[in-house]
Amino acid sequence: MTELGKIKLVSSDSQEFEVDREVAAMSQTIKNLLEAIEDENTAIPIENVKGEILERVIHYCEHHYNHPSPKNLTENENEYERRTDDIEPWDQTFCNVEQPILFELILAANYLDIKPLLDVCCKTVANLIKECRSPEEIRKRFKIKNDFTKEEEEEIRKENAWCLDEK
Amino acid sequence: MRPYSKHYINEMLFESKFTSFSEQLKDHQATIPPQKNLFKKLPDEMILKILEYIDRPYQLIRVSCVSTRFNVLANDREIWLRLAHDIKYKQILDFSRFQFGNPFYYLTEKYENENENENVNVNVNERLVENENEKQSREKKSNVDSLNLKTIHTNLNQSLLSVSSELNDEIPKHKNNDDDDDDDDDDKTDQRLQSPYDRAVDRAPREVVLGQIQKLYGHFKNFTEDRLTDRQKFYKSKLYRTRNTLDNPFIWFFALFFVFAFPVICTALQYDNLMDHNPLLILLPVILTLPYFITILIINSRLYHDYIFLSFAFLFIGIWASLAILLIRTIFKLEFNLAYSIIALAIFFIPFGECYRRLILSNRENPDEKKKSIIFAIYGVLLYVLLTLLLFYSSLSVNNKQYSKYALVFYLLLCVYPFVLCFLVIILGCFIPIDDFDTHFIFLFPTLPVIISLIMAFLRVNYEKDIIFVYIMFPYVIPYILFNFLYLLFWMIQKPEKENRIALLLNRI
Repeated sequence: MTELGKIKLVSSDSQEFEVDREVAAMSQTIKNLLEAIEDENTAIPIENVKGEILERVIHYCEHHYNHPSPKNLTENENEYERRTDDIEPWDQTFCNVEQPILFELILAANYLDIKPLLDVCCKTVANLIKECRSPEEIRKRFKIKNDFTKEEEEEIRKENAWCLDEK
Repeated sequence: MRPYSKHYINEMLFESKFTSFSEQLKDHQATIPPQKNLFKKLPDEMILKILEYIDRPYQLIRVSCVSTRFNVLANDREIWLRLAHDIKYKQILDFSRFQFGNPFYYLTEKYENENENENVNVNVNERLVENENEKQSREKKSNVDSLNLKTIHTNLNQSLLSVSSELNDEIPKHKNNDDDDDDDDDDKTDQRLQSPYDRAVDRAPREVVLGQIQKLYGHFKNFTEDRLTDRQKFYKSKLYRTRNTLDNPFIWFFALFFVFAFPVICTALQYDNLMDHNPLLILLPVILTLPYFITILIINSRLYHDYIFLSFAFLFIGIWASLAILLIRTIFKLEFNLAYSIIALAIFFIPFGECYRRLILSNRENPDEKKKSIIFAIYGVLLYVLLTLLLFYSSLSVNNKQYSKYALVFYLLLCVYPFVLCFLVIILGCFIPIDDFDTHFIFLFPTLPVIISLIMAFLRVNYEKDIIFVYIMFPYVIPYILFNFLYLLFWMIQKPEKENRIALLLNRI
């Protein structure tokens, strides 16, 4: 039996979390589910998200529910602007995790449809990419395999020489 | 029920008190590298979303060179269009940033924008004709080898104009319409379908977008000389080769010069009777500054912005002249302390360098930029005039045994000056957009030695303490010279992106 105004979320590894209804509703996916479910005591299964990740996501939602960012309210004003240097300090700390967790967070945020979390995680990954000074460094950092053939790589290098040469 | 725990976040918060975010990130990445390609887990849409946050074309190009999947995703036309839009409309040009940073893309971006705008304005009447040509050129384009950007660049000029004018003309309209019809969802959807991006995506092949980026972003190599103004030619010749901040030995030399050599020079200048002690002492600052002067002269006159070097060259020359005069004065036992006057003159020249830099770099089409430049130039001159006058006064009143009160005031002001400057920047920043802190932090460097000099002046009983002070500096000298030459060596032999810097340096010298 959950407390009044609270719901129960169950992660893919069967961990249970009790969360405020309003906090959980920051996720569009959960919000839609809540509208569909009649019994308030039903535990909501979050199939694609592990307990460890779900815990972090809930923490993020709780924080932002209690400390709404003024920026989020005006976020859509300039839809063309894409900045990565405007991550709030708390969010920076939140995203300061190992890469596997960060990527899991992206997937969770996408699945649960929590736009601010998705944005901040994507920005963090973008910042990590931007820190790399060469394609090789990007491969090294993210363990990406270079699957170009020699000829393809040469062609791409030739094509992009105008900017790769001087950086 | 598993209790909700916050231990992990507490740990991170604890760490964050001591290290910056990027450092922490680097630490994490360095200590716990991922075992596999984590991007494999992400769907294409997610990667595209991440790539949308890449705001520099060259960064996106780097991504496109990583793997075949990234190559396809990073060449997404909409991302490039968005980037083109950002570059075109963002006011990211801030000349102060490239003073000690990497100005390449800022500069080129500005010139390309300027030139493009000029062309757009001049060719308004020809646009219809160009649109027809565009269709023809697009047909040609399909046959053009997509990898041959030179050909593409020349073939697409007309297309670029029409695409950019379309972006120019229609985005503001689109935004206005959006505001008017906020309530009507259907209308909104229709407008989104007709947005300039959608239309441009439909109409412009990838090469057009890439070409436009190249054009906007600064394809200096394909840029014809006759399209540049004299001012732009000047930048092209002087600034094109500027590299990243950390690659700039000038910063290191300049900072270390002030931290270590400047107190020695100050001390030497304060001697009225050096000959009574050890005449070789006067050679100490000379020995210290000579390799720096030569190194900076060689490196910066070839690789970096000459105009900044020139403004400081006056100071160097002034210090050297003052040392020479001090020596002559000591030998002939002259009363008037001309050395102070000369160094005052040297300092006085700095604002001219600053004014020159600001005025020549000011964006004359932008009144805010112009206003900012003028205000900075004026207050810079005023501050330096004040300091110079005080120095002249102090030079007249320094006697053989004691500092004058004017000299002490001068030192005090010199201590306060950087902070006043930063404070003024903050105050001015409230009224006009200023992002100029990095420029003025450089003035913080002399603060430490000047404070030391001030303390020395107050504690001064006789000249023996200055002697001790000078000798105290000796232990700094060896690591100081060693460090700098090692740095120079390191700078020369390191090979980022397979580039031999020794060859680069020799070529450019």
